[in-house]
Amino acid sequence: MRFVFGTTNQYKVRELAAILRPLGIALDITDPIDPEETGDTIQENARIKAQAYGRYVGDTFAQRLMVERRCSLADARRFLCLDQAWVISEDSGLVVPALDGLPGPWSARFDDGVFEGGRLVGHHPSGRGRDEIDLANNRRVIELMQGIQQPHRTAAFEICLVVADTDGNVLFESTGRASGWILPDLIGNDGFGYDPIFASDTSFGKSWAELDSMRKNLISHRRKVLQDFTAWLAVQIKR
Amino acid sequence: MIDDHTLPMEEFKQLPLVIEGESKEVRYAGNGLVVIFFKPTVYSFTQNRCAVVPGSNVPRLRASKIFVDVLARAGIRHAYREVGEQFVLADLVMPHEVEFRKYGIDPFVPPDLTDDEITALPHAPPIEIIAKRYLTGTTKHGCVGLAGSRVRASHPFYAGMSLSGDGALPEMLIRFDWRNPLTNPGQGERMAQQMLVDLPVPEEVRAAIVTYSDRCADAVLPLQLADLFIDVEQAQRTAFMTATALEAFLATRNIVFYDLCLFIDESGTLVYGEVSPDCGRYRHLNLGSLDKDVWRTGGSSADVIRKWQLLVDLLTGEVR
Repeated sequence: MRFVFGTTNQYKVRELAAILRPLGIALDITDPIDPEETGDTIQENARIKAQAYGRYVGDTFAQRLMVERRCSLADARRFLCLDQAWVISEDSGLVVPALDGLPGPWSARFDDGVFEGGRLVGHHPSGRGRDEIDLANNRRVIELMQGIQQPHRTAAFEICLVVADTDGNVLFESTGRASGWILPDLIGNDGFGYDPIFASDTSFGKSWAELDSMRKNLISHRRKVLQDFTAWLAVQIKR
Repeated sequence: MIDDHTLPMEEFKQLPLVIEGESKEVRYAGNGLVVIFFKPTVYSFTQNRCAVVPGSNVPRLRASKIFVDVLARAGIRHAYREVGEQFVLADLVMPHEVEFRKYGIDPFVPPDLTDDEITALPHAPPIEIIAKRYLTGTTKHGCVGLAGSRVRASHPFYAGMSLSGDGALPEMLIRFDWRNPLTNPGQGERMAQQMLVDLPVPEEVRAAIVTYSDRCADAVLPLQLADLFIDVEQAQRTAFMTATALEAFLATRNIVFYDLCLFIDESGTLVYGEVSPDCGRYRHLNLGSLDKDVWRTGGSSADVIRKWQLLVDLLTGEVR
């Protein structure tokens, strides 16, 4: 059994490696592909990505080997043990009801969005680095939330993790959610993404960027899906 | 069948002895079942302290009951069938011959079972398994310079990370330790004879050295050696799943899981030992250590019981 994960995010790679390696399961990292994320929700986009990665790994890897070894596609798939290879994909983001669910599926590149009258009408990738775009995303949300008072500042971090086989069939799916609210300004130096503007009851009102990793890990939306994934893995291993 | 909730101590003592160590006494109840008495002892190798702490077995039993239920819900097999206020009723796991020799006990053979039935019983290896999430304890203290060291740059997943003392390890560490007795009589005398030959050492100093050198820590086994006694690959999975199930449960109580000492049978699939504050490190985010650290750092027996009871109260939800 082995898993293939398509990402450039070292933090996410380590998170999965820490689950799979102690179970003796191999983890391969593949180049990220950029499937068109046409879903309206984080869950839909996670599924789209997992299925695209599944087919990419199945087709691309096998076809590459088929050419190199001048063998049949079936032999190449067998040689690569693709029937035992699964892909993992995830999508996550910040959902703010007062912004009609935005940034939602656009969370990673929210500030690259084209806005008219506070509404997202298009998207133009700027190519900015992770830290730069994170800061800009946070400022964009704060700007859009100006004038909005509690209780309408509620928000939630959402994540969906999907496992698919190399034919693109979804085998496992789990969603996680952490509820809280949007702060009026960026606070704290730890964490990443929207952590500096997000607070919750579970963080005792502190921004998530003020929490050390130990405390954040106890309450995060990621914890729940990784627990679900670990439990699912246990069943697969027993089979 | 014996009712472990109402069994008087006198009747327990009449049952055939299976094995008795520093922390437990195991007696045979027939039909492949045992009754286990948790002795009220607390031990710390670091401090070389072992003492009877009256009442300390109660929070150990209560925590074990809760943790074993957590493992059952996670699909992990545990030999404990019922955990009462004084005894545990469990499936018999045949102790290893090394354990009988160590404690000077005649090897136990269940009188009511056939040879085939005995062969089919789960068997214990002379090994304990440590699941470690944070760099603490003997791993931190025993490897000088490990804390602060950087992961090799060519590592496929963890390159760029550094290990820090008491910090999270990149992944759960599963370690196999050979179970040594607390002391190995004669070891200190042999060492003294080799080291102190011709040295003018006062007799009381020599005696202290001999006594101290009799102490015997568990020894980390190379995996190939461990695999001769336990299915290492399967045991690693079971240990990891056990630790992650407990970690997830403790997180709901704002408690961080640091490490755990586990007993798993030769097949690597059955957990059979105590799971309690006596065999792991658990730290509440605001209330601090809830394990044996208070004892390791010289705390009193009352401190130990107070901390362990607090853990039980947090687990049951009586304290939030």
